[in-house]
Amino acid sequence: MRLASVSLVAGLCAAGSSGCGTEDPALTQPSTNGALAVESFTGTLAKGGTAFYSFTVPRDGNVSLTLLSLTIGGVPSDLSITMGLGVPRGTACQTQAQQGVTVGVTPQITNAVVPSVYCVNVNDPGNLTADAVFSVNIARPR
Amino acid sequence: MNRMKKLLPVFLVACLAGAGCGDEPTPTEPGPIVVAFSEYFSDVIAPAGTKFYSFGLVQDGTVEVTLASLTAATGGAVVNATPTVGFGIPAGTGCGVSTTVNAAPALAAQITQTLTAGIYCVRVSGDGGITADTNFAVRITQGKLNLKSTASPVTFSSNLGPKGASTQTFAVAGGTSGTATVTLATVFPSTTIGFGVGLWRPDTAACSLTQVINSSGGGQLSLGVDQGIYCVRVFDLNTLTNFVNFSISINHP
Repeated sequence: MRLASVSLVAGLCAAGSSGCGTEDPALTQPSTNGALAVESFTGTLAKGGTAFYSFTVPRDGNVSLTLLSLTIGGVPSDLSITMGLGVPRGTACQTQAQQGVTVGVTPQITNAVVPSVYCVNVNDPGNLTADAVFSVNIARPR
Repeated sequence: MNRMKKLLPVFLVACLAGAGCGDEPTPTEPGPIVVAFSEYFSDVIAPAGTKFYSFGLVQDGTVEVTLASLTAATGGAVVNATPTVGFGIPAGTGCGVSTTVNAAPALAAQITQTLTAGIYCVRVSGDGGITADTNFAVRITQGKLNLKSTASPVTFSSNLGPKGASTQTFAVAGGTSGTATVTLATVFPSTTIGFGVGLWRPDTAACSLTQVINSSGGGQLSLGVDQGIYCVRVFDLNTLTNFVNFSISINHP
């Protein structure tokens, strides 16, 4: 009997009655599939050097970093450099972790973030044979 | 079941007494955590160059930015210039400034901002009369520092030898500002020496000079000061051949 009562209430709710305690998530939760903005960080990474780029994330979401290209003397390179997501601090980009990455078309690093200012740091750990021109795509919540 | 019946009145009495029935005792509210500190940004700026520094503001509050010192990278003389100091948010490969001022070095803030917690930056540009590589020192202060003023007025005497220098520090309490006046009272035997007032850098234990004059006694420097630690530096102008005795008086908020 008790189960039957519960089923009835559930049925009324399912029929679209409001005020039944369980609301349609689609009506009350903000979408997590919001628009993305893509920023391009291009520059020259000196042999043994470091470069960073700061950007603002206005809402919760994922930041994806893709090392799109790396060329030395105009020639594409498959050498590994390190890349990481961090926070601007002092005169640098302070990263929690960096990882070795090579050029690719899919993100090498993806992190869930809250709204704030972040930076992407690229660094030559000693692999470059000369200064390299690089391009990193930063996909972030718009 | 019988046991429950026996215990129920006990629970009710306990509930009426306000103990242990779901309502937590009113917790003691912790006091607000107040974060206040100074950090320092120093580097060398080239003509037409820019340098920036990022910092985090962990709670809403006031930030004071002070360009405190400009000295020649070669020789160390105080540089009279008014470079652009900017305040903003790190963006791209620089600092996206929203506020700028052309500032001569001083010990009172040239930029004061009331901000929400976040990440901000200060940028210094090599303009406004910067014609050669120049050392600069910027102080960034958040909130009211937990700092007491040192005694004032105070007189300090010491000896100064050839190629020597002597430094004395003083502190201006958190939340205090006013004018600091430093007087080179006497030099014996009489000769001309240099003295200056500047920002004391606890991180490097160095005195970044703001203003300097030469005097044989009676010379005076007066500067507006905010909360913080400052220094007076007395130095030989490379003219001394023997020790001299000097005395300075410092009067500050």
